[in-house]
Amino acid sequence: MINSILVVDDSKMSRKLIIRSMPEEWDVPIYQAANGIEALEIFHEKKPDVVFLDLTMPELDGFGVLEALQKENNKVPVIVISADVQTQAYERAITLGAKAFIQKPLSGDDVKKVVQELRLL
Amino acid sequence: MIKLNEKFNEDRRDALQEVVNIAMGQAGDSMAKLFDTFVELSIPKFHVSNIDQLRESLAGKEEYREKMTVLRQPFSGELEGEGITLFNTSGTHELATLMGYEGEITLNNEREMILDVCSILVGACLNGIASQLDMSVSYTAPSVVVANTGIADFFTAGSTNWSYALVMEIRLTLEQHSFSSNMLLFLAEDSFEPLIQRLDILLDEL
Amino acid sequence: MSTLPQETSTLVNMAVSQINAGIVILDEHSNIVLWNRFMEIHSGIKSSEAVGNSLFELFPETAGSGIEKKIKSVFLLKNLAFTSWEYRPYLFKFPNPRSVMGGEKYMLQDCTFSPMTDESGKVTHICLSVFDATNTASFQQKLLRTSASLIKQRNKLSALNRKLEEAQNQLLQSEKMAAIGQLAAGVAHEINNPIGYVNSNVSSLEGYISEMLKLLSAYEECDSLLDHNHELAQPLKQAKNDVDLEYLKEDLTDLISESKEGLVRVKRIVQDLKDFSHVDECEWQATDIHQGIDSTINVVNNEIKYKAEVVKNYAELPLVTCLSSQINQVIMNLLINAAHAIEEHGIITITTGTEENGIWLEIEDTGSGIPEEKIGRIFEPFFTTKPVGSGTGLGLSLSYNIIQKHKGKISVESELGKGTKFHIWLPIDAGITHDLDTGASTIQAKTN
Repeated sequence: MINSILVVDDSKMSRKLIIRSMPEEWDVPIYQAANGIEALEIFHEKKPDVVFLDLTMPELDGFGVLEALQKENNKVPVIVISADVQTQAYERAITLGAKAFIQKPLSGDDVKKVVQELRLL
Repeated sequence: MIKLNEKFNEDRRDALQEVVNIAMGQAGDSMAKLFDTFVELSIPKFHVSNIDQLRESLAGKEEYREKMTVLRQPFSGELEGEGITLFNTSGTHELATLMGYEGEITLNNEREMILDVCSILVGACLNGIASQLDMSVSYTAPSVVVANTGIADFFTAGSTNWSYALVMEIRLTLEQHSFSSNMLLFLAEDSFEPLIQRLDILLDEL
Repeated sequence: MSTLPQETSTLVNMAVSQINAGIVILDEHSNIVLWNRFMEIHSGIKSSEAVGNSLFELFPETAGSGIEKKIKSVFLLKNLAFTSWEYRPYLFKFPNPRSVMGGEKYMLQDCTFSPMTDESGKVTHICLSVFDATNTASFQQKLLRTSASLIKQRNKLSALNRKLEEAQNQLLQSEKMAAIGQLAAGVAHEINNPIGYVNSNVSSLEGYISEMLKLLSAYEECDSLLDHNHELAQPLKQAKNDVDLEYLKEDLTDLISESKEGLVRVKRIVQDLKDFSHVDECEWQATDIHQGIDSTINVVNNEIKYKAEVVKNYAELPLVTCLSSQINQVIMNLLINAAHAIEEHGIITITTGTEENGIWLEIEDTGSGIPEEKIGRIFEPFFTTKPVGSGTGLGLSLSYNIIQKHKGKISVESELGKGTKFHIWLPIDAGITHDLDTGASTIQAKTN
């Protein structure tokens, strides 16, 4: 059961795009963060049930967030949405515990498909 | 300048930055496939700048103080401007293998090779931007502007025919190879309006 | 891609066939799909023979030279790739159709690889266009040759200009030196006369005084015989006390010997001035370099003595045929520069030795040193590191020219904060051929 969602991306446009492409069924609070540090603060306060995470960000990047969550042994599903689409980035994100990797630019039902595959609905 | 900053307001800047980041991601991926090696493209910061500001900002940076070979590739269409690529030629021998040159590398081979890289770099980055914004762009063959000079000397008053340009600095590094190159992408003032229109379309869709 | 009406499509095909440029379409395996008439004519390979074959098999010389990567980059990145005649004279080895008139043997080419995409935006083919650049290229090459020869001429002219400037500076400087020399000689001569009679007078004076003192002692020995009660005895005693006769006797001798010493020094300075200016001997002659150094040190001693201690490490030197006044001038310049380079107090070391039919001398200071960016220019006229007004910037340039005239070498080594060392090498017999004033000399400069 999804009760709240966290979207982390340094681009406001990108956050909006991600939110817009979420399944309609999710009528729950959505929190937003513009960098990794903000993300971890909100994460600990609001305890969201799913995280959409950009990789390249100022302050603390997405890999840093994944590492922090891994250290805490937190099993929250993290879906990486990144413009860095080289194999190295994908492999590192998955190793650090990301459940899925979506390439930017987002198109059509990318997010919905992944959400369904991960049975998050 | 105030007017230009108004034109490139926060939302538009944010949208352009995201478009550029995605373009760099795609360019990096394609180039990694081309060279069979991990490619690092720095996330470009862009700024609207006139020639004096640009020269000042370049002169202040350590990496632009070395002597370099400067190449240019003009592009035109809805996106119009020039890509200036800067090479420190000491790393080009390794590049030869990556670019599929066999045998001894002559100065001409080396020149053609860095022209190829210039064309690849400019094309990969711009195509990514243009395709996301649904804008057309075509290219003219790149050429060597100057060999072995400091970049600040290159941008002197009167040497360019633009007063303001949107400048993006992108650094390309090939992992496990000592090769790196800097690219300055200049979007001419004439491209500002169409660019803003397309960014607004993107923003309106949200 | 929209389909063209039948008629337009025929026209396009005709255009592709007739266009005065090569058009080749390649699929993703670099197999030829289209080969237009231009390609047929210049390659001698018919379209029917070319189509279906790999570009690299048909033209093996194109393989392994970066073309594969260009093609791959077009497929992957949808960008354009180019070859330019400047760096790759041709992609296809076609004979130059203008060979009747001579010129290039092969057609020079500019080529472009452009992506051809399907509806989904995927690159399916590459359009390779080949343009004959032979005309443009030969014009450009002609232009390059012309501009190269212009640059060469300009460099020649500016070298000539520089030489002229140097000659003028040297003339200016040597005029000045000649004037100073004449002045010095004049002054020396004028001083010589009075010094002559002062010298002889002092000698006489010395004799007279010694006689007088002898006489005085004789008188003094008679003192005991005098009647101390005589009315004149008291004033005599008073007078003796007043003049302090004992001190006077002692000091008289000192005064005379000091005056004589002073006179010897004046005479030596006059001689040095004459030696230095050499107005009387402006010719190539066998010279004792050490004597030249010594007399030069005496002339400039005033500039040096408060700044530095001079240490001499002289080797045994043969006589050197040179224009001694000019060599002295060089030594003077170097000594003064050395003194100026020393901020508080230091050491100037002069070392000499023999080497390869010549002699060398080194003047080394413990001064501030010359920065690396300036060391290459110190022999240029008007280049000075001294504050405005303190140096003309001509000293070292003149020194360089003088050493060049002697077919010698002058070089400099310097380290910031440590000091500077000038090294001069002079041939023993440069004078024999001094009228052939073309001897090349070299400048070497380096910093540590």
